[in-house]
Amino acid sequence: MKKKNFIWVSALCACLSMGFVSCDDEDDPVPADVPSAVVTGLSFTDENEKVNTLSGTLSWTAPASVENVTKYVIYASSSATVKTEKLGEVNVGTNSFTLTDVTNLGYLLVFAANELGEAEACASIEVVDNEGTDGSIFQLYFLNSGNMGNNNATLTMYDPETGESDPDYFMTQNGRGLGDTAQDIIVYGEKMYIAVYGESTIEVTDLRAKSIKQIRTEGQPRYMVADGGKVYVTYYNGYVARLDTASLEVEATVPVGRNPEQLAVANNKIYVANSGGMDYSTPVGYDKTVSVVDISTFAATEKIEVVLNPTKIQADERGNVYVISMGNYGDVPNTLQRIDGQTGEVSVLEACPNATDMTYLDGVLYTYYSQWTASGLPSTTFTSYNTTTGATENWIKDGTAIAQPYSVSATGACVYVAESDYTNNGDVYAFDTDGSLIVSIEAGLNPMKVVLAQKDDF
Amino acid sequence: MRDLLGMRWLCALCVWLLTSGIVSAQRIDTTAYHELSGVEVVEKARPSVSRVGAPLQVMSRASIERLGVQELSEAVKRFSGVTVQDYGGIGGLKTVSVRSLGAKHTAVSYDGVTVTDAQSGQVDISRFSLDNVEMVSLSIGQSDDIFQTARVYASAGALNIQTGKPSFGEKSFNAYVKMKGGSFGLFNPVLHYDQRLGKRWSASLHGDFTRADGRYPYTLVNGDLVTREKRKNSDIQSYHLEGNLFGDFGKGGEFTFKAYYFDSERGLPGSVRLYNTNTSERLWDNNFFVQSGYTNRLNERFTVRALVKYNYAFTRYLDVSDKYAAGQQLDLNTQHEYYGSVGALYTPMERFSVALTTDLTRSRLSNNYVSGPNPKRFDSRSVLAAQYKDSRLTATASLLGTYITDKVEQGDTPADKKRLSPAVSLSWRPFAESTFRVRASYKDIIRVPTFTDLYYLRMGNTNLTPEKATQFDLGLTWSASCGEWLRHLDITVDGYYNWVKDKIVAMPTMYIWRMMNMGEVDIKGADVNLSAEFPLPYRMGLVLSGTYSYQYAVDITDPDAKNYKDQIPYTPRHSGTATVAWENPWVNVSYILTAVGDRYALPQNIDANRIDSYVEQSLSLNREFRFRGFGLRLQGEILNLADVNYDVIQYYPMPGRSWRLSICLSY
Repeated sequence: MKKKNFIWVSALCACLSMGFVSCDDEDDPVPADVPSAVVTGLSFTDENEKVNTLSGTLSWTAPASVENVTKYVIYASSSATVKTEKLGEVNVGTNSFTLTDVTNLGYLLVFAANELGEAEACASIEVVDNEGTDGSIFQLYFLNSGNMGNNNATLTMYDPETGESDPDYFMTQNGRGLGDTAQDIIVYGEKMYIAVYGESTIEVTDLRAKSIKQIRTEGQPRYMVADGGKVYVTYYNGYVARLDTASLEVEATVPVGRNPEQLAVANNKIYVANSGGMDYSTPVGYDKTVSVVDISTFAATEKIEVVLNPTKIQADERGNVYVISMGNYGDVPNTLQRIDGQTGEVSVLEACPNATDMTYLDGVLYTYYSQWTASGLPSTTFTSYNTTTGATENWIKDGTAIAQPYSVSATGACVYVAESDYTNNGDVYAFDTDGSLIVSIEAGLNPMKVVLAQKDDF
Repeated sequence: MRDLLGMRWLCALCVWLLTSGIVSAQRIDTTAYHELSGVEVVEKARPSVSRVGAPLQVMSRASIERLGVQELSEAVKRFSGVTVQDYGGIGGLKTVSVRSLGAKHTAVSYDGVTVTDAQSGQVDISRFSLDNVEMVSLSIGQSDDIFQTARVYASAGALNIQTGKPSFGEKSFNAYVKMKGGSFGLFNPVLHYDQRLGKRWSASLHGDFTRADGRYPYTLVNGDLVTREKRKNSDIQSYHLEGNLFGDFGKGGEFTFKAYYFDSERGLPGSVRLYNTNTSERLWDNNFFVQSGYTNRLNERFTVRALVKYNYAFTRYLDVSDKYAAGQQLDLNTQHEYYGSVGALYTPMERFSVALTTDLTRSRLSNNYVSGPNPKRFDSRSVLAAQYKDSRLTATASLLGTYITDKVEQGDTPADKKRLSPAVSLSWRPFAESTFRVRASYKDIIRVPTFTDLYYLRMGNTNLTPEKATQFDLGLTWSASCGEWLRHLDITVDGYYNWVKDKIVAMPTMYIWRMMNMGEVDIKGADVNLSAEFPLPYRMGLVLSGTYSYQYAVDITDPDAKNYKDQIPYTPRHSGTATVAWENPWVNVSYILTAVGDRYALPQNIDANRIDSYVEQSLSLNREFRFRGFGLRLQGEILNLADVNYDVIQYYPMPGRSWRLSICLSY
């Protein structure tokens, strides 16, 4: 910081004194031009098994004429032409360069150069990163929505084996950001799908978050669910879109209710929570329905009435659907309801009537409830509901205090509570299903969801 | 003789290095300005900035013309201790925050009467052009002028805009027509007319129209991707009409009347997003007010003053999108305000005076929301101030009483707000033979929750109490005139400490935000102003000025928070300006440099939130011709000379290099 200010001040002084510097226009004697030669036959094999890290020898064939060339300059880069990071240089005559634990940006570039500068053109090679012989992956990702308007949605990568994390892994892998307000992430097959609300994009990546395709969506995407080779996405302007996971194209859309949020698959149907959240201040008001879309025909068949402003939805294996309605932040509180899988009847879950967010894992709904009251800051309760037995309990058993929970998600065999004060980077608390804290990890701003990318190659 | 010339240059160089060395620039002018090329010598009464007990910075008409600044925000950026939040472009919101206290602590007054917005609590200064402005001044803390309205007292900093009062020579009228044009489709014609109406009355009419398409290019950096983009939906169209009536009855007092009308339509381009370029928000705003004042110096001891104002403000916000049931969101807000102020200044003896002023304000807001509370506010403020002043010492003390009560049609009625706010200031010249002065001031002030803070749907909180700010200032001033080679030199240095508690901030509570009295901010800072004026041979002159501001403004709300003791958003640690104006009989040249250090877009001071420092420069040339009572002024400017790509507010890019030309014909 200090140094930076110093530089800044110096720059300013230099700038100011400009007027007093007399201008000498005596040019240095002009030597020969920068080289125009380009090396050929670039080859490189990554010898370490670390992901995104390169080690090995880059070799090339010297140009036909090295007259005017005194050295070669080597760069790592995210494109075949642009210099991103200089790695080093070697004198002419040497036709190789050794890399040790260099961050992989995608390309390696070699420029012929002399004391005047570097050649315009270069030789480049796209690097194949050696990601280990077994190709297995076991990484946690936290999707952080960021702050609206600051383009700071990020993906935190956490390696549970090493305990290392990368706060902006999508940027590391792709050299570009997610953008404004990420909403949801799912892992399906060998791909991940990230819905970015502010950008109207769905980023499709491999399990290491390398971009496969950026899909520009017609509506602003909110939440996703995957089933039968398709990803279903809610668009905030009132649609569910069907994305084919092979072609990565949106095949069809179906209108549902207003401002749909989460969606769940049960009974060969998609249940969509229609919040109507954008009309909270107009005479139209909130929506209060769950739309049912038949998967085989992809047509909306009915609307089930629930409590005002439904946003969260989960399904169990027996076809029951659980819905949280956020209410009106006034006299109608956050309410947890169940839509019966057989009868379609809606009832408030008497054993656990109030919840703010929930996740589902192995027959159990993990919820928390944190309702604003006029008297001050909300107190938070963490209640689990066993969907088979109907039993409820406080599911955090080791006394871990989380003052400002922001989201809850389940993946692998763990339940993750993310905390955020909307101001600073949040934290993710990982619990086992016995309710004991395993670890807490720093996330980005406003962590929405935790997913596990796991691939075993044994 | 040769030596003397050498000394002159050395001295000039020293001042120059001093200004540049501490990254500073300018305090605008201090003493009367002697016009070099013109026929007449302009010397208007202007408050002295070195004699006051609390910081005062002034930019006069002469400075405005010399520097070629066209917008109020450009003038305000020349002041030290000020942060102008600028959302970019001609129609972009611009607010003024003084010494890290936030824009809602800054009062803006127009010809002595504050411009208020009970809904948002802050004033967008982008609407004020400088065409008819005679003087802009900024006072921080306790002002030395004790005969001010209570509403001006009731702020941590006051930006005063003073429009010109017509003066007539032989003629019975003055008129000018001005045409301005520039980059990004800027077109701005101005018409002004003054008329003498008999012996005691005069009137003026002023009208201007502004339009710009605002489609300026900028560079978007997204990781390794760097692209050139163009700002969309950044157009503006506005009209401004103003009429003034002045009456001077000698012993019968002075009368002023003003009618003001402003109407605009603009696009709200929003923040730049990385992939999505859709933007559909638009804003219309409409403001009309009439204000009238009467001042009478009854005798040597008594002066009385009365002011009245009626203000109407209407805004219409529209966002067209199919995510709304109606296909659009339409917010309509209407505010009415009735205001009156009466005051008396009593000077029982030569060096001592007392003033008592009472302001009453009635404001109401209505909007088109379902079950909107439609609040009404009755605001009463009274101030009692006393001052002792001799040639060596000025001491001022005041006590402001605030009483505010709100009524709502629906929902909870908040408790009444009452507060006594004291302030004192002192300016002392310790050496009789020197102009060196020491000054100190203290002010305790509140900022009352706005209608938005209290009542905005879901977010408003009627339990809010006022935000409290305490200001301490200690400063040194010195002004000198070093013979014929240095017409004047002014230096002021102030150190200050501010403390804000019960800061009104939006706090998240499970997906909805609520306004809460939660923040606490600790602010330490320093402001330095320098200015020097050198006469040069051949009727030339050089005016150098510089300002430097240091602001250490950290959040001390919660010791356990990750942003504890982190610099508050959008507040640079270091910032400064430098100005050089070279006046000569041919073409006057001025160069302005603004430098702003690193800032953070969000409360946590991490790299991801950092906005880089920038240096912005502009160059202005002007020439004035006079013939047979006509004046012709040509002016041209290049803004952002180095075409620097920078943001004041993150992802609201500022325009790159651009130009403006104006031609003004006056009679």
